[in-house]
This record gives sequence, C-alpha cells and structure tokens, in this order.
Amino acid sequence: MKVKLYGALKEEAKEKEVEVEASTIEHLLKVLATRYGSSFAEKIYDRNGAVKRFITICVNGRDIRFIDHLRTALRDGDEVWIMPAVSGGSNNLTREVELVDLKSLRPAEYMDLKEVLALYAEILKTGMVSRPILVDRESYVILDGHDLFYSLDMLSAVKVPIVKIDLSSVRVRSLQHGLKPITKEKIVEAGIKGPKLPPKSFRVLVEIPQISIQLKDLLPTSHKDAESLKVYNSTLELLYKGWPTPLVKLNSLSSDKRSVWAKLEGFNPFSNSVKDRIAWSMLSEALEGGALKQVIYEATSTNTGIALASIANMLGVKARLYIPQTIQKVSDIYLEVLGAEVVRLPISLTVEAIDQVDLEAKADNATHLNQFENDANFKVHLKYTARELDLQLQSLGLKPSCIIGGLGTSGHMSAISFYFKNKYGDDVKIVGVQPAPNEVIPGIRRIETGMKWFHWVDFDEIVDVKQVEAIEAAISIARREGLLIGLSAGAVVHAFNKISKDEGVYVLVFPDSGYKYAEQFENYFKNLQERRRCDVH
Amino acid sequence: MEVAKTRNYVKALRCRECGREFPPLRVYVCKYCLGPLEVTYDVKSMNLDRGTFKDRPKTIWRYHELLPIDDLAKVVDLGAGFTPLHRCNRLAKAIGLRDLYVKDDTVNPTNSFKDRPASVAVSKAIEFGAKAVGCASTGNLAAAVAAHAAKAGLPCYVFIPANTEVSKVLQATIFGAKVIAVNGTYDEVNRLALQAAEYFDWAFVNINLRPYYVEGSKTLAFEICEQLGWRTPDHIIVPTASGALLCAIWRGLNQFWQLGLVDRRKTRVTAAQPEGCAPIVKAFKSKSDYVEPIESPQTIAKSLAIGDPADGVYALKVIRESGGVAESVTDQEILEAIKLLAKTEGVFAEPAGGVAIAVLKKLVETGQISSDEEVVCCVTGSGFKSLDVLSGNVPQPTIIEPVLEALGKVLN
Repeated sequence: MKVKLYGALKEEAKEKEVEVEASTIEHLLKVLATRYGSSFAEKIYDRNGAVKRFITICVNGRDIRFIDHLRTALRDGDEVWIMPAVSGGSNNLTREVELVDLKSLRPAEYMDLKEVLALYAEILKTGMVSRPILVDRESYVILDGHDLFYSLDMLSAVKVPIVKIDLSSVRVRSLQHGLKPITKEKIVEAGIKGPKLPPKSFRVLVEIPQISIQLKDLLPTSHKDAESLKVYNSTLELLYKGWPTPLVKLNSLSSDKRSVWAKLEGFNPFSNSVKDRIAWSMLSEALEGGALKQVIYEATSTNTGIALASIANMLGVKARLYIPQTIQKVSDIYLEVLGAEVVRLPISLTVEAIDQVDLEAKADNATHLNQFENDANFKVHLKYTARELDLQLQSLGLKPSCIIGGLGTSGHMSAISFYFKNKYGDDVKIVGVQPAPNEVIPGIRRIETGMKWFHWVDFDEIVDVKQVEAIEAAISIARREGLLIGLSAGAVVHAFNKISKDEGVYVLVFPDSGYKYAEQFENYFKNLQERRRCDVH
Repeated sequence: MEVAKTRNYVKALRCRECGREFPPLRVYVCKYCLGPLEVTYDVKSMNLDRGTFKDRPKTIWRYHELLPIDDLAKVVDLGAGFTPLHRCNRLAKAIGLRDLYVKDDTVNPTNSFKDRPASVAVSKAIEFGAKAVGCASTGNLAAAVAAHAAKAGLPCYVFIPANTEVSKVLQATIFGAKVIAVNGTYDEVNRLALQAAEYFDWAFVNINLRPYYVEGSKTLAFEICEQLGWRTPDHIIVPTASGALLCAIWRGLNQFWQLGLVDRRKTRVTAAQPEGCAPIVKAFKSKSDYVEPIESPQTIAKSLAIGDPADGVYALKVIRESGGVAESVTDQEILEAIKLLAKTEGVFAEPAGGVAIAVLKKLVETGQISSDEEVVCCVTGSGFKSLDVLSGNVPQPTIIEPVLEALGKVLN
C-alpha cells in the first residue's frame, strides 16, 4: 500500500511517499521504524512503546482511532497517511499500560501449549511485546492475553505489561460452544481458586491497545553478567568461581523453632565433594611455590584423589593415588577414566599410608601434597568454606547455634570451628562426627588416628556413628528431601538426630553426594533383605 | 499608531511536551518528539506597569510586548480586541449570582474572538514572507483570516466543513477568500489543510503558524484583568472546542501574574461544551488524562464542533490546576441561554456563547459555582453569524395592517 508521510516524519524519512507491504497499521509502523531507523521510531513511539499522541494515522482518509486503532487491517491499494497531529486526542487504554510482576497475575485459563509456542516464537524473534494483558482491576485475574502471559512466563519474564479494567463494566462472550455460558463470577473463581478453564473459554469485548515494549525490559535485570549466568572460561574456574556451594534448608528436619540447613559440598565440580577445595588449594600453593613436580602422589579414600587427578590433568601433571582396600571399587574406575594410577594398599585407613607415600614420592621425585598435614587444606576452608557459610547465613539474618560435620583430615571442620568460635564465641556449638570404633565410613575416621588441625581449635562434642546408621540416615534424607547424599553426610545427619534440640539454627556440612557409594548401599539392602528373610523364618 | 517600533521579547519556541527550545521560526511541532510548540518570552526584561498601557490603542496591540511580533508598525490591525466587559446585573439575578460579567467578543471586526489570533497570525505570516495565508475553520476563523488577509493584500484560502452556517461562509467569501467547503467534519478539513499546507507552502494560521496564532487569544485574559481594574475574577467560563482559547486565557493570566500587573489569586477556568461534541467534558468527568476523539460531532454550536481537540489534554490540565470544571449542555439549553442573554443584557451571541451562558446556569444550579463568585463568561461570537440555526427557534413577528386597532389587538 501507499504510505504518505507529513511534516517532521517526512523530513526524517526524507521521503514523502513510500510503498510498504504490511498487514496492519501496527505492522506498518514496525516496518517503517526498521526502514528509517531509531530517530524515526522515536518520533512514533513514546517511552512506554505506545504510539505518540501527536501522530494522526488515517487509512483511506479515516482516522484509525475510529476503525481498529493499530490493529486496523490493511489491504492492497489502501492509502495510509501518517501525520503530526494538529488535533490530538488519544487512545485512553494505551496510556494506562503498566508493568507489574508476572507473579501477581492470576490466569483463569490453563495453557494451550501450541498457541503459546507460536507467540513465544514471535516474541523471541522480534524481541517485542505488542499488546498488554487485560486483567480485572480488583482480582488481577487475566481476562485477555493468556497466551501472552504463558509465553512471557516461559521466557522467564518477571514483569508483564497489563491494562486493568473493571470486569463488571465489560461484556464477556462465552466461547465454549454448547456448554453453559461462562459467567464473570466463574472467571474470577477460576483465576483465584481454580480449577482453571480450558484455553479460549471466553472473550471480553474490549478494545485492546497496541503497545511496543521490548522483551528485555520485562526480563530480570540480575541475569546480566556471565558470572551470574554461570559461564566460565575454564574448567578450573568452574570450581572457584562456582563458590559458594549451596546452603539449603532441610524442611523435613526443621520446625517453627528449629531450622536445619545443609551445606552441599557435593556441588563441587570434580569429585563432587568438599575435597575439590583442598586439591585446588594444595596444588595452587605447590605451583606457586615451585614445588610441583611432574607427578603427584597422594593417599586418598577417593575424593581427594579424583579432585587431584582432575586438576592435575589441567596442569599437565600425572597423579598416582594410594587407596585403602576397604574403599569401594568404583573409585578405581573413575580414577582410571581420569588417567590416574591407582595403588590399592592392604590398609583400612588412608592415613596409614602416609609414610609409604612419602618414601615413594621422594624416591620417584614426585610431589607428595599430603592432605593430612598440608596447611593449604585448613586455609582454603578458613578463607572460603567457613566464610561463605557465614555470609549465606547472614543473608538470612541467621546466626548458627550448632554446626555439625565429619572429621577426616579435620580440615574443613577445624576451619569452621576456628572461624565461628572466634566470631560468635561459645554461642555456636561445633560438633564433630567420627565412625564408631571398628566402623568404616569413607571420608571420616576417629580422632585418635591423628588429625593436625583438630587440636588447634575447640569442638563441643564428638559423636560416634556406625556405618549402618550413616547409611540409614542418608536413605532417610533421600526419601524425605530427595537428595542422594554420601555416607559421611549420612553420618552427620545421624549425629544431628542424636544431639539436636527443639530450638536453634543447625548447619550440617554434607561433604559429598551419594553416587560413589552404590556398593555400600547395595550391601545394606542385601543385608536388609537377608534379615527380613530370617525374621520371616 | 503612535507607538514606536519596539523590542521583540520572544525568547524561543518551546516544546510543550519535552521542553526542548527552538529558534522562533516557521515551525509548529517539535522536530524530536512532535509535540506542539509555544512561544516563550523574556518576561524579566519587560518593564511593564499598569501605567504603561494608559494611552495605548484599544486593540489587542496595546499588549504588544506580550505578542510574538517583530515590528509593530507592520502588524495587520483591523482593531480587534479591547471589547466590552459588560457587568450583567439582570442576567446575574436571573441565574442567581451577585457579580457576573460578559466579555463581549461579538463586537470584534468580524464579530468573533478569532480576530485576535487572526491579526497576530496574519501579521506573522507577513514577517515570514508568506505568499498566501489560509486556515481550517469551523467558520469564524475563516472570516477573521479572510478579513485580515484582505487588509494585508494576501491571497487567502479557507477550508471549512460543507455544513458551516451560510452567514459565516458568506462573510469569508465577501472578504475575497477562496472558500473551500469540504464534505467532512472539521477534523477531516483540518487534515486536508495540513496536507495542503505542505503541498502549497501556504501559511496556515492554525496549523503551521499555530504557536504564534494562539498568542492572540490570550489578550482576552489581559483585557478582562485590565477592565476589572487590574485584578482577576474568581471564575472564567470559556466556550471550548480545540481547547486553545482556554489554554491561552490561562497563559494570559499567568503572564500578568508574572509581570506583577495583577495579584496572584486563584481564578477557576471552566470549559463549556455542547453535549453533541464534549470530548473534554467527558475526559474531565471520567477523571481521564486523555481525550477520546469523537468522530461525528452533532451540535448547533458548530463553531465548537471539533471532535479531536488539539489542545484537549492541555485544557484538561488547566481546568484541573485552576480548580475549574468542565460541563456540557444540550442544544435546547443553548438556545434558551442565547435568548436569556439577549433579553437580559442586550447581547446577541452565537450558539458557542450560548453554551457558556447555559453552562454557567447549570453550574450555579448544581452548586458548582457559588452565588458569591465573581464570574466572567466569554461570549466569543455574534448571533448574526448563526442566523440559520437560530431563525426557526424564535417566534415570528405578528404581521398587522397599518391601523391602530390592529396594534391594540396584538398588544393585548
């Protein structure tokens, strides 16, 4: 169709007459805005994206405000005039568009996915939202624009453009043919209480204004930088830029007076355990101090080994890992995948291998980082683990009354004790968890087996846990909270169950996830079946 | 004219929307946001007091410092302005007021207030070197521009709706203007004029000279103040079409306040519209900030039949800011008011003036104007311009034989 431009619009376009293909006036304006650029668009649209009051648009000589506003359809041969308005009223509705929280709206109809996807695609393609959602002024129940609402929701919008109308003052047309007409009350009820109505159940007979709002203005502003979008430049960054690890409330263990929080160290990327921290810390220090040789030797019950092997691969060095025979077999496979050499030793505790590892490392000119003695262990937990836990609690306005964690090298719990005891004094109770005598729980061991940092700090209580208790506690968390946690985490839960009071803020440090302990869980279930069979007989 | 060529105090044209300023040239909309422009003055350096005006001519040009003209010696002046402000005791009594005045603009050179803006705009067109002038009009402006163009010796093209009153068409035609009667509403006429203004590069007084043109109308407020003895009234009722006059009156009051010529005191400004074309009243009553246009106005007050008021939004603002109201009246009420004004005060108004009087009456009746308010009602055009709509509504004289007995019969 032919479009004639007048006044400042003509000057901006440097053309007084153009041929444009468009289906509606709204479409036409978009085409022109694209063709003539932003300063032309600025003349047409106001800050809210509505067409300005000072523009008069006519189709075949008739003002579009008397036809169908911006939705006025265009046909071949139509002539459109766009002129600065010497006279200037405006469309009432257009100016009342406001942006509100998406969550404040109450849809009255459920989603029609196919319809929504079509609109979703259009918004994604154009980056623009061209109409508002009509809502009932009082209840915020959606009266028109369910597709838009669901599309914006799926686009993660937090704001939506709405126009409020009084449901009482508009006519509603029921679109469910053959069914009982939908009343206004029914619509509000569907929005507030549910059940929701099927898609396209009704239509309100109201002029819907055209707007032009950019999608980006509806999206959350916090999701802007790469870091908050969890984009990393290396797998190593994935570790330390990924911190803090999550702190999550365990509602199954909490009550009105007691809140229980779990620090999920299983969210570390390499070993899926707290040990990533010390592997990174020890290797970084060794690298900086020039002490890192071409191969590292370390005694480990798996997690430190996986973490070291992973980071060693990034650094281009080899790893040989000494693992007690009591440790689950799957560890060997993981370590092999990572290209590390595994030496199984006929011992039950990792710490028993220290002397041997030390000797062999010296003989082979390898680096023995020695997690049991290396202060980089304690330091990384003091600088990061303890500190981030405190910040996480502060963000909730909480001060911990008790922190419970397992003892292995004693690195993380000693650092946590040091930090919180010094900051809050004895208001914070620190509880260490160890295996009961003659019990094996991977990752933790008894104090008498020797721990460096444990003796630097105060612990209020030490709790003994049997392997079966740790497993059962882990299963209880899996079945109540849906989290597969490791055995040492299970031990922490058992200790909590044993010592907790009805009040307070409890923090449980879960060192890793449950995936490495399939063998232990398998044994547990086998024994359980066995016992049940015996009970039956 | 014995007043010497004086200084031009115009500072700039300022966008009423975004506030950007432009040199005072032949532009009428903001080139950035398309908002309308208005003239700003360097009020501070004007050295005016009440005495300044004492010996000046009784026309709008007595306030020339406040008009956007470069050379006073070259203005096109038919003597517009300084029309009577009648104290209307009989009408006041009939309506239930104590102090009522009618600003009688029926006695302007072409019998409507439009001579004020036409005089300024045609003068400005000459300053800009325009080869022809024109306007879109509901009738009154057509005659006013045509007369001033005739005086200036400029060709004049006036665009009017085809249903404009015969007397107004005739008046414009007699002044030599090319009258183009358009099958359509005023708003359609206006759009055509806008297109023509670009095509022919004519100076359309209420389109491309609009910022200057509207300045002429504010002299109405200046005069009211001066005629009341340099003070403002409590209330001014303005027949309203585009809203430009109402805004101009408000500007006038403000400028006099700024200059210290009158005390700053609240004057309520009220819009009066006919029911068949009352978009501003509708917006006011619905508490909306925006004016919904009306496609086909239907009223005997044809000079007020603008469905899409250019200054509607600004007029609403003025009404609200000043504490005024907006009210509409039916055609029947308008006719009654014309008769009432004529019979009580000897002023013959066109329907627009009747609208103002009828609205005044309605507002007093409904208690929106209290009996002790001092009210000025603007009667903006003469009844002679609308004879065709009035003629069927007044009794025909009784025809008698030239004998005394016959007279006796009639008078009994």
